[in-house]
Amino acid sequence: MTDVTKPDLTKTLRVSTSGMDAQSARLRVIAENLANQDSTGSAPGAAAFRRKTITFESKLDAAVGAETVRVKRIGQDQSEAPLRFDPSHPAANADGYVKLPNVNSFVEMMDMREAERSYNANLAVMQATRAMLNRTIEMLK
Amino acid sequence: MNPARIDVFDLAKRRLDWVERRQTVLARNIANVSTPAFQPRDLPPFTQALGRAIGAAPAQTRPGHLNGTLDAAAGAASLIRPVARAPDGNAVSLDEQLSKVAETQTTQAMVTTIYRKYLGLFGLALGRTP
Repeated sequence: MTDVTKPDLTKTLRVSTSGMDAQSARLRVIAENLANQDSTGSAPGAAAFRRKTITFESKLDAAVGAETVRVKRIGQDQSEAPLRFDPSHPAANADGYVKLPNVNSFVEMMDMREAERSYNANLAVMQATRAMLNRTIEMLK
Repeated sequence: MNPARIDVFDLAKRRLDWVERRQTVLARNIANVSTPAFQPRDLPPFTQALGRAIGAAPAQTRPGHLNGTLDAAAGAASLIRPVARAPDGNAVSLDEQLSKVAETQTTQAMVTTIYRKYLGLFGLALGRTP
């Protein structure tokens, strides 16, 4: 096992990688939500696609010897599905209303921007760490 | 400390240790920018870490024992006062953390440069042309 108290720049790279992994998982969930923003059911009165949510947690990774971030849970947004009056739709219920997905594209776009920004921040740390590693190697020359 | 006998190499080593440790702490803060209720941490300033005597660290007497994640000598990473807090309880400010990363990087560049210059002085004393 790696010594957790020993400072190690490669460990820092692993922490940043875990952050980037987490943000890519978040982007994937956002893409799924946006792609399914018109996915209604096909049977009368059927439920539509539910928006997915993602949460993260900080965990000690024994293999790396540092606290990394990982996906805790991919859940479902439990907010109510909006209804639209469309009797001709195959998923319309007896009153003629269709259940629509509870995806708001504006919320998803904002989320996407945030994920992108966080990803870039992790990338910046990684580049800084790499520059530091290179400078340490330069000391040998 | 006698100023005539400053051990530049030892000082540089300690500072680089501190820099590396801080970089890990900052990377962790930034990686957790979306983790609910996450509190950012930071190391105490180097002058404080330097002044602290080396504390007692728990010994690893059996292979199954886990090392602590905090080093007594370097000073533990402590919670910092949050600038702003998101509704989910996360208190990481990206700009603040990134400026600290830049600061850490500059410090490391400075220390490695001083180290090399000092090493060059030995070469000079030995009559080698730089």
